[in-house]
Amino acid sequence: MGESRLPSMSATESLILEMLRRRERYGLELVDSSDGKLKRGSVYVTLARMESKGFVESRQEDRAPGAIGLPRRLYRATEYGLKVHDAYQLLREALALRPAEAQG
Amino acid sequence: MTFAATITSLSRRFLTERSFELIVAPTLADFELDTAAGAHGVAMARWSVLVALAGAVWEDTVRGGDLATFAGLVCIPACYYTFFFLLGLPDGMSRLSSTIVAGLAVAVITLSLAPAIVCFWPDRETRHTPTEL
Repeated sequence: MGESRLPSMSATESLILEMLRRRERYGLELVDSSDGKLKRGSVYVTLARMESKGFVESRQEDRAPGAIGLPRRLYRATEYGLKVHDAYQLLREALALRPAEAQG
Repeated sequence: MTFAATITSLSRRFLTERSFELIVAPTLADFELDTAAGAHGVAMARWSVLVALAGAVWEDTVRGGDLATFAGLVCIPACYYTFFFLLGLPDGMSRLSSTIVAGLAVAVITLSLAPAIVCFWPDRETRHTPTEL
């Protein structure tokens, strides 16, 4: 019998998905708008892991012909990633409640 | 050779295509954007590229499940050279100064790591080379 593993999501991954919820962004843009929570050196490692998990998708930016330098990458959240993110948010909120609060 | 070209060359030798495309190449693209941001900005951007390169190596080896293979490849020559040096010291290590012991340890580590690196990271000819560099 096959047993499917639950997807895991770290706080950093959750933060990135929250920032990607509305529109696609560059990695550096994510770092700049994270108030120091994301680091330039490690953000792409995290994004690569998230892409492996299916939480985000990426593509190379469209460039004008003759543009110099390496193309940057644009990232966007997948529907699956946002679904897992929302589920984790609910779980975190539920676990943060004390038993008395949970009973209403 | 420019910094970006050096990093690309190291990546070509040691990283998988995927790790280069997803981790190192975007960091290099950011680095190229930052070269106009002053000496401090350039230094920070270079540091970020090096951290990303280390992260990509980590992803390929540790998360790829190959750490045990690499450790095994290092251990085999390490055991050989340690035994070799011990045989050459009939009075044991006690009469040697700490400097010589440290020197021998460095020699063993170097002689063990070098062949392991060559065996563990074979040349990957399939890498796409960015033509813009």
